[in-house]
Order: sequence, then structure tokens, then C-alpha cells
Amino acid sequence: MRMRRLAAGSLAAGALAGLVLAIAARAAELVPLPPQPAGVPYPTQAWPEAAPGAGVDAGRLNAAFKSAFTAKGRGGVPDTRALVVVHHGAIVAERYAPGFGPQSRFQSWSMAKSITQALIGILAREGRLDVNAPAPVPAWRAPGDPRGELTLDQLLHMSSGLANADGGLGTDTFVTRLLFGEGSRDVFAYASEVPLIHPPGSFWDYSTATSMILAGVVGRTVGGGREGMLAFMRGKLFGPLGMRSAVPEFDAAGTFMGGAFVWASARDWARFGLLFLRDGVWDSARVLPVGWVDYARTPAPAPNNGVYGAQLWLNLEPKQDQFKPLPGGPASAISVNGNDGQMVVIVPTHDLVVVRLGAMQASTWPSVTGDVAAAVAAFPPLVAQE
Amino acid sequence: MRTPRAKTLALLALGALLAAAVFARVRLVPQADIGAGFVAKQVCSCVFVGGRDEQACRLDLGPDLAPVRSEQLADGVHAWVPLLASRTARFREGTGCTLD
Repeated sequence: MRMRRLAAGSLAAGALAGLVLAIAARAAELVPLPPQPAGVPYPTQAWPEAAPGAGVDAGRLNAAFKSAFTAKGRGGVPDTRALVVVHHGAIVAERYAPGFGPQSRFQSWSMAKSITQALIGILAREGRLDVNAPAPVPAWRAPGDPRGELTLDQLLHMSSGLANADGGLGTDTFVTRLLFGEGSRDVFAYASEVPLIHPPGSFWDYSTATSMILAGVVGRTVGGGREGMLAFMRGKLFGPLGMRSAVPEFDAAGTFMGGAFVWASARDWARFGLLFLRDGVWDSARVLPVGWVDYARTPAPAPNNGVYGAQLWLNLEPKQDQFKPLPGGPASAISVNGNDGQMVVIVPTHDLVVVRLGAMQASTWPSVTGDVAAAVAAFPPLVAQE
Repeated sequence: MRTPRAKTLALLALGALLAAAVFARVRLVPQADIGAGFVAKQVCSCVFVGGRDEQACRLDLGPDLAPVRSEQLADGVHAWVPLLASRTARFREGTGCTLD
């Protein structure tokens, strides 16, 4: 145990140094995040709406929208139920499947992970959490427990080394037990009371449970149980952004189900995307700390990762068993993804946010990302670098 | 009087029953529990948070979950697999649906 702890400690230090180096190395590569255009209000109250401006290929945009609503699932309902494009801070294209509209709330699935990430960022800005410090998880605090070294940074990077990865697509997997089975009554305990199977920081593995741990840490830092967490989320994130439709869901123990369960309208998901596009600043007030979005869009340093940042996806080169979130799209794109083709795609080089929500009954990930990439391709890049 | 052959058959039948019970406990119950939890939570959120009707919400879940039955309650959704599992998700204003 002591050997493992020492090994874990030195590896954690190594990973931290690696992180600093990785950020330094990539800082030069990160394309700038575009500012809100002068005269365009933030959509805290209502979304500004505009016609697609000069340089936008309207025919291509229409074709992408038409294609997105072609695949129809059970009951003849299009799989794409909401598609919204925000360009230069204004909605320039928006369409819903029959039975859905701007007021409809849609399920996040894993897009909730990025909400949880933003909540960690807010607490980091307030000095209430340090992402490079060991994560305050009660189950790991016994002396000599190797998990006691695990940092929030490693959790945010899906590189904890814990035996709690989602575990494939079957019916009875870690993630289905966590969300709907024996783990669902207390997700924080179920997610965290597992052994390490890799040294912390050394191995990337997608884990909804890890996001539940992060959500549990936020809840315990904020205090006040379910109501305290709800008040924090509304006061610090949903309220300032005007995400009035957002509904976070909880387990019976009062932990925010931050790995999978937030509901919000397409327009509110677009507000969340715009926060990242604007570097965490909203209408002259800073929501996320300085450098947080750059941290989020820098790949996790684990050697088997190419496309995952801090609780969101990057359109870079995937390693084995990973996938590129937006094939054919700009490398600068950041993607907030969820099961069944939920996507909030943020494209700094084009000053764009594209939101696609719905089902995946007749469509596939390649068809969904193909439609989103086609919509992005209708817009001109800000600078000729991609 | 039981013949030795009848005894063997009875033992075999008992063994098969035990095996079925173990299989049900180890394999079927967790699957049924997850299925019931999935249907209760998904339909509850879809109806009460998503604002759609129960039938449309069930349709979205697909035919694989047909063995899981469900019923909408005033404040949630109850879902069950007869003899194996039962879960209820309750709706609260502001925080959506929570599995019991």
C-alpha cells in the first residue's frame, strides 16, 4: 500500500508538471476566443436574432438543416428535435421537430458534465476549491488511502484511474447501475467507493461516475443539500446567463446528477455554449476564472487521450478507442456532447455555437456530426487559419 | 412409494429450480432493476420536465423495454417488471425527477 501511495504521489506530481507544460506548450496553439460584437447584447433576457450575414453560404446552411431533419425515428418524429445556430452572438438559424419548440426542455445526458465543470470553475474563481489539490471525497480520506492523492484536475480530465468507467453499451454496466440501478440512490458513494486500477493521471477512461464525484464535491462545498445546490446553480450560473428553463436533477441522497441529468431548452444550451465562446465572461462579469476555458480546451495529459479536455471534447486527433467529436469540422471546435447525439458545438474560429438536440433512432453519430459540420461549413472563418 | 427413478427426477427438477432462482437473482434481477429504474426516471423526466405525453415518452424508449411496465402517477412514474423489480421516480418543481 505504501509503495502504491508513493508511486501514486510521484505520478501525481509528474502529471501536474506535465499539465503545466502541456498548457504552456499549447497556449500558443489555442486560437483566440472571439469577443461579443459591439452593439450585440448578451442573451440574458432575450436572444438577439439576425439573418445570416455577409459571407454565409445560405444555400449550404439550408441544406444542412434539411438534412438534419430528414432522419425520422419511431412515430415519424425527426431524430433532430432542435437545431440552433448562433453567429456573432445572435441566433441566425433555428428549427424544431413537430411537437417541440423554443420552450421545450431537452435532456442533457453527458452534456451535464460540462455544467458540473463550470460549477467547479466558479468555486475555483471564488477560492473555495483548488483543482490541483486532492479532491475532498470522504471515502478517500483514511490515512494511507492511495485515492487520497487524487486531484480535481485528474477527475476533470477523466484520468482518475478509478475502476468506475462507463463500461460499454450493455444493459448491465457500471454507468447503467449508477444512473438507474443499485448505484442510483447515492451516486456519490457508488461512484467514489471503488479501487484504483491505474496510477492517477496516467490513463484516460470516460466515466460518468467521475462527473458524479465532481458534482458531489460541489454539493458538499456549497452545503445545504439539494436546495443549497439548486440555489448555488441558479445564483451563480443559470441566473446570470438567463438559463431560466434549466432543471438539474438529483439522487435520493441529494447529490446533483452532474454526470447525466440536466434539462434545458435549446436556447439555454446555446447560452451555455456562448459562455465558453466568450472565455467565461458574461456581459462584463466574469463567471469562470481567467484561463478556465483555455484549461478546459487543452487535452488531458494522459498518454491515451487526444480529444478530451476538462469535461468536454476537443476536435483534435483521437487516440485508440476515442472518437473525433466533429469530423470535417475546425480543429478549434469544442464540443459538449451527450448520449443520443446531444451536442453544443463551440467554434472560436467562426464565432459560432451550434446546438443539436434530440434522439438517435434513425440517425447515427456520423450522420449527426456530418449535419452539424455541414452547418458550420456554411460560415466563413474569422481569420484564414483553418 | 417413490421409485429411485422418481427420486432422481425430483432431485433434477429441484436442481433446475435452484439454478433458475440463482440465475434470476444474479442476472435477471439487476437487469430488471436497471430497466425499471430507467423507464421510471426517463418517462418521469420526459413527462414532467420535458412536457411531453407518456405515450410519446415510452415510444422513445423503444421496443427493447416493452417488458418493463409503467404507470404515470400524480407526481411521478412507477415502473416495474412483474416479480422481479419495481422503481418509482418522483417529480419536484425545480429539481425534476428523482428515483426512490
